[in-house]
Amino acid sequence: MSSYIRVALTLLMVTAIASDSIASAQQILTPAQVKGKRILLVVGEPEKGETNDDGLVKKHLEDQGYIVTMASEDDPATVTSDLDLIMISSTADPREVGDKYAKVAVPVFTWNTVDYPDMKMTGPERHVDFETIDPEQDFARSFSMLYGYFPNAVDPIVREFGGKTQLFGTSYLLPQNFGWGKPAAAADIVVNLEGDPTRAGVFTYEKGATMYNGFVAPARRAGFYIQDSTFHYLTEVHGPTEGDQDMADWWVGLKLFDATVRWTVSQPMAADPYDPAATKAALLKAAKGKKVLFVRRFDTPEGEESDDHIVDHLKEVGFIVKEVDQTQPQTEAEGEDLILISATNSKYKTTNKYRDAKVPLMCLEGLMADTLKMAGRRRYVDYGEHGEVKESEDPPEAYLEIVNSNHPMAAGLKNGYVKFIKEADVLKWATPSPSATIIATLPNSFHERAIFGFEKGAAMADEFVAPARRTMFPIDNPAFDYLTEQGHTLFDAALLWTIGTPAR
Amino acid sequence: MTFLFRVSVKFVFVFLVATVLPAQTYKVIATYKLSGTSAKGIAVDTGRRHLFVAGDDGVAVLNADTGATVGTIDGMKDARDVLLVPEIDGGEAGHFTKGFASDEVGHVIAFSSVDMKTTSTIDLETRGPSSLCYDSNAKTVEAVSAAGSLTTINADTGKAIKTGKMATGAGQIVCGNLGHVYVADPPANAVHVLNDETMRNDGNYPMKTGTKPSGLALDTKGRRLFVGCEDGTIEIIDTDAGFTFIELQGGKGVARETFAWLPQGKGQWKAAAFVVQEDGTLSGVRMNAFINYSIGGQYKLGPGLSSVAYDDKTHHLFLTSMKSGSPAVVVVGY
Repeated sequence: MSSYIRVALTLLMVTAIASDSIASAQQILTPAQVKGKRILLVVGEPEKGETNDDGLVKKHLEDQGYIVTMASEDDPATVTSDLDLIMISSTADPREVGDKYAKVAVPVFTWNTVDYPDMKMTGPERHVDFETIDPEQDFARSFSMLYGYFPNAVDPIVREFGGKTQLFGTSYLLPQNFGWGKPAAAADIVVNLEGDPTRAGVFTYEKGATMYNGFVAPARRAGFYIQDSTFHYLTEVHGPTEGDQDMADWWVGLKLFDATVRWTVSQPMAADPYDPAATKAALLKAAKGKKVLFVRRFDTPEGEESDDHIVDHLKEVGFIVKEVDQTQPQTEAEGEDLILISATNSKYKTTNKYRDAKVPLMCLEGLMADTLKMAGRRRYVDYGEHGEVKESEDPPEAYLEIVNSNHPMAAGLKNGYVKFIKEADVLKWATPSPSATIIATLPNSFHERAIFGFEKGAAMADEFVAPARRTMFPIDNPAFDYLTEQGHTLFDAALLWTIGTPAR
Repeated sequence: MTFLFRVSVKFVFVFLVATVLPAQTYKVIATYKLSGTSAKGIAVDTGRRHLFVAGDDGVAVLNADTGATVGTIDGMKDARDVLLVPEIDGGEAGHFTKGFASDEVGHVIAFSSVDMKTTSTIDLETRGPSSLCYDSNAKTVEAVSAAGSLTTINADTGKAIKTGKMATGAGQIVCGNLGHVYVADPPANAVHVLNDETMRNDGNYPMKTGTKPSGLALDTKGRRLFVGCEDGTIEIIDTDAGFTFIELQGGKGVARETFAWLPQGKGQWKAAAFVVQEDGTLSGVRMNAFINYSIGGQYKLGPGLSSVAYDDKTHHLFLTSMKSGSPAVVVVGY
């Protein structure tokens, strides 16, 4: 076999793997495909005279073809190889359940809110990291919990039943018990509550995602807002109003439950191993012939050479590059396939340009997170930087912490610290709206996210809907030249994802 | 004793009385024997104190307070259902001059409840047993044939004005808001929502956990549909979304129902759906609030109950029954 053929085959394989990885992230088993899946439902003993919905949940799952086995809260976490999902009911005593299912490499779907910390799904503090709402004690709040919000209509679970970025009815119109959690950066928040985008009623962790305290998810994890006796209140619509789209979009609690269960038992996203050459090869394939608008500041006092090298790299991987100055009108983007915004640009001079562009955009300037609707507008609260003497109390940094190793943008790097630039320097960050997929954060700065992306159609800050994929990849003015090998590979992987086919 | 103290004592007394007031316990007050071999639908004219009872002998008319026979509506045998239409042009509340009855083979008659004469006969589009309800908005009587048709009858003229074939059911029917006619269909395990304006099925309400729905009652203000199922489940459905939000436990067997506001007078239950079932159970589904219902009482009255009507003058319930194999009306009060 000639080296040319070998390279071509490798390229083909890499492309296929990359495409599959992206596609698999979107796939949820159909109702027909879950038939025969085995579920272990962990429950507690109801108090004398009390009832709960565990039996209803079991019946509901069995009606869909799942095979459900019940386990007691006291049972050891014996997991057989044919088990597809563990469900933990809120009726199980969280002190008895503890962390015995945390390390199990089987997907877990739980509505045991108080057990979230032991499952490493949230922090440990009640009322701060998680909370259960009881209508006896929190009457008004138990009403406000009836209104959930889907922050991201392109989340695979929400997309599964055609949910929109809007409010919906979580449970029937009665004051009820609810639970919420505040998950770690790598989680996807499917539903938020009480107008707080970080207060998750439903949230998920992909296998391999960094959960709370650096714990890596051994399999998929999902948290859900119901409590002991509220499953039967999950909304659904029947009869004449079923055909009314607004009504149908509101009464989706049960559909949400079913889709979340199916997402949790579905095949997790599989990461390709870290391979800079393969990533670059995949980018070569994807970028070939694509037009990129590189927005930079010409004749900049700092970063000119670095910008030139970015252009060289873009051309090397096959992009057709058009360079424009920050002050040129955004009509320059017409006909382009990608907009890449350099960190040499002045945020003030670049204004709000490119925010509405209907083509994918990758931004290298972290401080533009607000103008591009990626984060809120509070400087040093919603976005900021490390290592800029006059603007930050944080020291310079060279490392990032990967939190979502299975995402294509992580380039196959394992969760944990990765040396990003060769010497500690300025690194920017933002706390994007929860629809963003977080790939890397700044070390020891839980809420300061460095690399992240928005899927086309996801809700960004201020309810702005992403017109196309949006990626933040913050490298300060000259830092492209100081990227480590891993940093370069992350750059290529971020470009590759940004120009990829968005989820439908 | 200071004024404040007196008020406090009175308040405490009233509170104690209210707290210790026993729940109203329903019991059999009287039993009226009927001729024939069956007793099915029942209606009460509270103003004239007449009971109208459908059975194999036709529609019998009784004195509601004594059970004495007043007469029979001519023109119908093997009657299944009967209803009275309130005065359309004024008249006293609870004053009825017209009635309708259906049979087991596809006929409906309109009659004068004053002189007990049949005024018109309507042949339904399909044969088989049929049930009736009154649409107070449209001023029409809706006749649902279990064989699969809906017929709209002008309540004033007694003439059929619209008819259509569609899947129906053999259970109870009730008329609701927006031209909807709810039909219990035991084999389909659903309540059909028919539209008497379009003559189409607008959708179905599936049962949540109950099986074989047969009894229906509707609170048109709260838009709550009470569905009695043959397995004993009573589902309460929010008709705006077809969502069952409460399930209660009733008796067993075929169910029939009625709904009443203040069924025991002021200061007692706000409203209730009364469910009677074949095994002889009378269940009072008590409204505590529009989102809160509970079984206010459950009474064993002997097997064979088949229909129920509420008398808002005496707060009594009239139940058709097969007492010891013979048809009767059981009067229940507290």
